[in-house]
Amino acid sequence: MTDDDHPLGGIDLAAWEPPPPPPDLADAVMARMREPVGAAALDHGDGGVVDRGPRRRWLAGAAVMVAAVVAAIAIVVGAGDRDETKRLRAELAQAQRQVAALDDKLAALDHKLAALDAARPADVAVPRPGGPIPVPPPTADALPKGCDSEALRARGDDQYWQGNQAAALVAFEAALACKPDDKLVQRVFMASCASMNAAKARKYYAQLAKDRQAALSQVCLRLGIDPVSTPPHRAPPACDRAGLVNQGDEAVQNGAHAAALRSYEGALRCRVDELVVSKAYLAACNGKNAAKARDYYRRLPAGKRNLLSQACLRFGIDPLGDDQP
Amino acid sequence: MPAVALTRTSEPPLDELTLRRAQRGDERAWRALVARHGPPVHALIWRLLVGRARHRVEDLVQETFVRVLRALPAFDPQGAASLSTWMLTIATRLALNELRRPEPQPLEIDLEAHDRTDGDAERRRLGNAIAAGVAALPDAQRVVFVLREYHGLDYAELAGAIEVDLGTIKSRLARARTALRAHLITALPELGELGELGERT
Repeated sequence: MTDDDHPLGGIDLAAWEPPPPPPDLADAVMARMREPVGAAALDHGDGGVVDRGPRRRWLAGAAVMVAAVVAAIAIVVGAGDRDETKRLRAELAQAQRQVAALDDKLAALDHKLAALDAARPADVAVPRPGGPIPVPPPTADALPKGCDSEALRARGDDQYWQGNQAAALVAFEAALACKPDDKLVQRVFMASCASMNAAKARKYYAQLAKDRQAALSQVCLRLGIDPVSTPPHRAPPACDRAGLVNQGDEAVQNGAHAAALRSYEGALRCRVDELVVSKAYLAACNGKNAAKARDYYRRLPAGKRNLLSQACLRFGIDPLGDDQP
Repeated sequence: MPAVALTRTSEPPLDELTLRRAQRGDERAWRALVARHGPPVHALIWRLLVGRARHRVEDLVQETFVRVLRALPAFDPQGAASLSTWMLTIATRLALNELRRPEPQPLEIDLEAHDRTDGDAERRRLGNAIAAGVAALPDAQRVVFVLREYHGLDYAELAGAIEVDLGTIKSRLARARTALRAHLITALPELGELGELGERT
């Protein structure tokens, strides 16, 4: 089949070039192929291993109980009577078979669970705006003892990737108290945002490196938390239109569309420009700011409207709609 | 007109003998298979996870090959799908599963993630703009776009790989291209001025 009327004709898409695969890819794959199938299936991919402890312990306990009952009967009755001994031995053998059967059943259940777990994405609880925090923060006892910043940070990383952002925040704060570090401040800020802790997000935003504030603030803004009381992108005293446009372009590259929109709006206050209007419109669409998107859509040159309307429509925003909810 | 520069690999397919050995579990043949198909599988997953979950790319590439090698004895070289399309299908499904997972924001945001030190600046700018545009596409459109434009799958192969009908494939591809074009016009206005991306309605 051919592509009729290709809208990207002439563009060298190969300019978006991936890096080569890691040189040890084959070694890593061979190492994983040598792992038992069950072990590989139990691995969730994020390092987490399914905890089947309670089920296994319950079945193992049941098996031990069966064996213990048979053994107790043997002790009570005694070995005096040969027929009785034979009978008990038969019962013991039967019980052992039952234990073996239970063990097989346990293994089968384990495989089924492993297959189910491998087939579905891990249940990572991620807090949503206004939603509950999934796991309560741990007490200080749950954290590594002493002031070991590395261990605390590792603990926080684990908690964060498991979706326990509030617990991660506690660990990162403890690590930061041990040993102040820029990357730790960033972690504390990220965990504050992810755990919907607005007060801490504001507190740690102020401690972030200045050149990272704008990009990182988007993490919070996407979750509905404004970590700054004043906008991070303020127009410079002199009207630096080109600088603001560059700032906006950079923010777009980082996915910070709300910040980009602010920068483009600053540039438009310096001087109205068709290209910057287009950029502001796209930033509004990408940032899902329907009102601004409609506003800038009206200011687009007529020739560009049809083409650029798609940019908003794919986010469910109709740029021709009215602003009424 | 397929005016886009496809990056479909030009290397020859794995020879039949090596494939048979790989199907029998020969480790040298496995390695040859990984070496041959590693770059396209890695590139596919890397592109599909653009803008998120980059830390999972290597894991998913490995996982793809583990699944491929385990299922290889049942693979029919004379079947409907070629070996490479079959592998890309497995990689695509793993990547889609990954994209469906709720993902925390990366703990360390690399502001220069898209900057590469090689190549000329213009090409890098174009690459960055394409990356940003593709990252903004909905997952379903991105998959179709990347498989079509970068791996050369035809519509039928695409429909088989992601289990949707041909009409859906075509509409997703058209929407993806239109959205990317709009993004590129805005990000790199000189493309329009040079006539590479003229106005269309």
